Amino acid sequence: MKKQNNKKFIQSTDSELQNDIKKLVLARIQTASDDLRIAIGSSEYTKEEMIKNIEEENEVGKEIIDIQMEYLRDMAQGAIYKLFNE
Amino acid sequence: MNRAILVTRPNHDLITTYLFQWSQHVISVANKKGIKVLDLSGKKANETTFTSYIVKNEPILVFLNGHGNEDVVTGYDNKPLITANKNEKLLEEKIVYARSCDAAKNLGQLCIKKNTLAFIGYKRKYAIGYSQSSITKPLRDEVAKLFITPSNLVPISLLKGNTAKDAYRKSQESMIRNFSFMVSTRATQTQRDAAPYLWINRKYQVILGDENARI
Repeated sequence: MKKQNNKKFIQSTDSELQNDIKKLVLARIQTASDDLRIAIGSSEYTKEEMIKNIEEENEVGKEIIDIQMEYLRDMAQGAIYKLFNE
Repeated sequence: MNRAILVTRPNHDLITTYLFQWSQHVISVANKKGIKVLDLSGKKANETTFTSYIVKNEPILVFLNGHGNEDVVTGYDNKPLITANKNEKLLEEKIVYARSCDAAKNLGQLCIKKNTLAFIGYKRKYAIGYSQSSITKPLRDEVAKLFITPSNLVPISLLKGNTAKDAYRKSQESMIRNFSFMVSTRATQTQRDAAPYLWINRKYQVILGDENARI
């Protein structure tokens, strides 16, 4: 019973974290310039299309979230300063 | 082996049109250097013409622009030009720069196993930020310029006699300079918002094979 409760707790924390990540990326895209378009792979997206894909949690939305989060993590870890010091 | 460069630059959608136009800078440098350019532009970027030009002219440098995935680089209308385990041997004894998604992941590795001298490409989806207000004039797009100029430096540096390693390094350094501009207050908001995508391009651009290869 205790194990099951732990599993549920982890799943619910994961899901909350994913939701927070989605909200964070959505907020970043929503405040982006209306003039911005991004081509990823063979498709191009306006700001509105990026928001729609993230909200729908489809493959494109997940790719945008991955890129934004990897960027934020790298910046938080000081990756750019490491590059400047190389 | 000739001191010729083969460029594929389809133009069937907006992004390939951007790459088509910006690749002209590379062609101009080759022309100035007196290096023969085999320009597979638009519909000429198809597998039949590509194969025949490679076999007949044996270019030392192959510069691929187009969509793709880890196993394929495509030409006009997204039809394959090079496919893993099919015709990658066409690229043996050549330096290859693939401005295409994911191609360094598998295709690039396979090319090196099949005696491609050096392969520069991306291990993730290649992204370009651009400005909605500039789509009718790609060469004046001040957002796309920050993405495409550093990538053009790979073939341009090779044409200037640099090693594959130096061409890669110059491209990386140019991306870092542009990135640092993009996150500064000198950048426009659109340029700033595009910064994460350039960051990812830089992080996943790789060089495989002989780093000392040169044309």
